[in-house]
Amino acid sequence: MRKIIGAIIGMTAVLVVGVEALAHAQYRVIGTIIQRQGVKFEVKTRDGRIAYLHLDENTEITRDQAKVSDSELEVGRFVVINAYGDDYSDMLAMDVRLVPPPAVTPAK
Amino acid sequence: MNSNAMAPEPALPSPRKLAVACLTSLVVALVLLVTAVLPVEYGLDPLGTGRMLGLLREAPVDAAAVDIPQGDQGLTPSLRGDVALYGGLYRTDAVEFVIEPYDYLEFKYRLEQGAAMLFSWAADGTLIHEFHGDPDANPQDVRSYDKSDKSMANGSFVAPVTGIHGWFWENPGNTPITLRLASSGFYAEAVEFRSDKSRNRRDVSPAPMPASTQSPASAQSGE
Repeated sequence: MRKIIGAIIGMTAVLVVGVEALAHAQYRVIGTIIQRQGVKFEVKTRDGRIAYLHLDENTEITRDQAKVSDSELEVGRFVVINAYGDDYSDMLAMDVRLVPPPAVTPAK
Repeated sequence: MNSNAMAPEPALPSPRKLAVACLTSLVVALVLLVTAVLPVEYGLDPLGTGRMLGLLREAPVDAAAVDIPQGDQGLTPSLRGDVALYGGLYRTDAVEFVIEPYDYLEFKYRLEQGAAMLFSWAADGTLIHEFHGDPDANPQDVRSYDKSDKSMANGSFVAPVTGIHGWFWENPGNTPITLRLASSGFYAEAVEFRSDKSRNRRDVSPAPMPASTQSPASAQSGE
């Protein structure tokens, strides 16, 4: 009986991981960091949506094409992020670019 | 590790049974890893199961899920020596896009293999640009035709394979860029992909014939 339960638990875990992987998609998140706590941070996008992201050891953070420390991800900084996840509620940041905020002048 | 000490002795599985259970889980995990996880997460599809199951995704924009109508509509060329003839009418199209700071978009026409298109686009700023195509047969086999930063391009194109063919434009700066594209050719629809995952299909009407053009029937009747 234990063998069967063990096998079922193992297979279920594998299936859950597999199904989660199938739902992932890549997103471009552009906006301002409004909260930062450790590896987790939130970005408010141009259209007012909030993206909930986290960093991992492979996340590349750059400014002017040079790698920088994650300590530069401060509240108020404008960022361009390529992220991976199911939706805006939980995404892994693959790369984060610190960029100047959009100019306030209207479009040409 | 003494967790087994808590279990009643008669219910303990034998080491052999435990090994079989672990091995079963491992085999299932490996199968799923190779057939599903690797294709989806890393684009590696050693057995072709990712493509078969429709799990592979295009990067950076997911085009596989877009509802692109299939069908010929006389848009497949028939070669007669140096001339390619079409059963359908050619189309013209003109669109304007505003690409917000650091944002990108893709715009692609659906062309049959061998179908031709002329294009001209111009932007009021330099864009990161790639002209490329996604074959219907294997959308992951993206074909890059021209990849370079540009603010304009004029050209002609003959589709090497049936699929959607067009442009990726990314605004690298912090001011919006306006882009205008004009094209003509043997296509019936286009698809626009935005970074927010929105996809807009665009039907392109046949180009209007000149007013003085007569139909073959009326020309023969001497009108």
